[in-house]
Amino acid sequence: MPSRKSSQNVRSKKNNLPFGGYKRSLELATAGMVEILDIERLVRLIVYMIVKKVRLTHVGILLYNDAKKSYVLTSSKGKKGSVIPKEYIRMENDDVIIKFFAERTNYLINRSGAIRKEDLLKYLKKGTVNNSLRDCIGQLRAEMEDYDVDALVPGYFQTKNLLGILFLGKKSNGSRFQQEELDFFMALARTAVMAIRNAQLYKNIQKIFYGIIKAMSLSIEKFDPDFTRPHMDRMFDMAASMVVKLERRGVVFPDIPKELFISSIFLHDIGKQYTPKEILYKEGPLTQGEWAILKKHPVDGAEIFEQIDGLEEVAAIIRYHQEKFDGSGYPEGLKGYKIPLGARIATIVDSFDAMTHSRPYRKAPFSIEDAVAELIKNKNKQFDPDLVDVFVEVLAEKGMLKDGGGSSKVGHIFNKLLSPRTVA
Amino acid sequence: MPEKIKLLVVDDEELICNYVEQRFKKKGFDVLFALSGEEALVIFEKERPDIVILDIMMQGINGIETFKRIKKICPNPKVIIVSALDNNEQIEYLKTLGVSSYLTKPILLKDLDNLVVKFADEINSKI
Ligand SMILES: [Fe+2]
Ligand SMILES: [Fe+2]
Repeated sequence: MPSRKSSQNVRSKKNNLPFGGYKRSLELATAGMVEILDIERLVRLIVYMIVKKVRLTHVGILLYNDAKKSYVLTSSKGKKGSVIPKEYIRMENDDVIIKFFAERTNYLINRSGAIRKEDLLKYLKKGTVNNSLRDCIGQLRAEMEDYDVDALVPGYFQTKNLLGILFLGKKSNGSRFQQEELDFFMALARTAVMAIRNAQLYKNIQKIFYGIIKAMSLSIEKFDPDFTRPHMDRMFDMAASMVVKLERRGVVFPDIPKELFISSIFLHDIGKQYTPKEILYKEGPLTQGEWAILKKHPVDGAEIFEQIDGLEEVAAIIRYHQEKFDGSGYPEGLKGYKIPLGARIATIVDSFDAMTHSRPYRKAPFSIEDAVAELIKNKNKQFDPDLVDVFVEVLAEKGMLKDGGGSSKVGHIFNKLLSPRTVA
Repeated sequence: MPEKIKLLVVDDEELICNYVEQRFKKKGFDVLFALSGEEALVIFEKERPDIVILDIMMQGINGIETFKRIKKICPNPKVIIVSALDNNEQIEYLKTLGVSSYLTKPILLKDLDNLVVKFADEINSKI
């Protein structure tokens, strides 16, 4: 068989220590994987690692989906026409592939636990197979043919629950899967399962956390239904867009997931529940004493979250959302990049919204254009100048600026946006 | 030997078109594909496919509009809707338009196969 021979030549040229090569790949994979908490990114990475190691016509990851109560092809890569498009197909528990792996009859086929299509034929020829298993294996073969895969690699958690299956197409060089390759894929699958489970648990915890945040924001709605809730919704939207934009430019949000970061901006005014309604709703200017009371809201809000370990950065954003870039804000008069990034974002988004929507203590709202002019005028005074530019770009992209906002282009180095970690 | 049955796949995701095309070519169908509703209508007019596999959410004219216009060309088209949307209202609405076959992404491939085979049998028995 010429194809086999030539492929082995390629192999020995490329890698004279095949097993060592796989072991090394696996170590690298293991190191990175458990760090990733985003499931989609994780499965993309696994697919990427496979195609980098072994050239295949196509590869796919079938993953159990709780909401759909079935296995969904979550990520894939490969040759046009061969690759099964991701999110296009699902498989239910009665599917022969799923059944076969879920019931773990497969150890009969290959010692690694994976299945090679060629092994199925060999197994059938043995003659010791009973009829029902023969049927099952026949169906399995037909289905592998149908999906155009040469090997299937299962991933289990807690040794018995099938979390997913790797679909491996044909090898591009036409050779068969080696035992050591199957062993590699099984080991990779074990690591992948751990990482995916980890990410799933994390996601669940996050869900609960956002549930709590949502519940807390509902309490804000209760004490100030006229402005706080819609104000926060608008702020959340703007802040989220800014964060996405900053991330695309390489700004790293330190030690805090993006969603959590945006959520803290959402909570910035939660301390206002301690501000008396007479002050919050007062028409006309506040007295000095009333201002002093209103000014307590950042600290009051921060103190709620300072109780929770791990949410120090959230508390800091709340605490410093009224600080100004030139140091003239409250409660501490922090200056410049000492103010946490989230707080610097919050103050821009908050001020803009206050200017463009009326509040009890400031009746005359600005037009969007005037408010933008005001933000620009206050660069370096109240606001971080680079963030003002980013904000204006976001407004322009949302179509909120009449002139399209083409005038503001940002070409700064964004590293300096990173604030030193703030300890409140 | 009867003529090959002609299938038209409409989806704005090219990978899906390619995959479904390959899949049904292997099963002996003649397969065409279109990446938009507009393109689908041009092809439909010219090629008169026997069966259409139609996505709903597409830029430009969407699948529902495409279906309505296909019906103007051919009153009883054999159309299989494949959509990511899984809401009863839409399914009910599509039924009033005369859609009988509806699959939700992610689909079970055997559902798609069965529907295509069912339509193909209907066509063959007429000949
Ligand atoms: Fe505030
Ligand atoms: Fe505010």
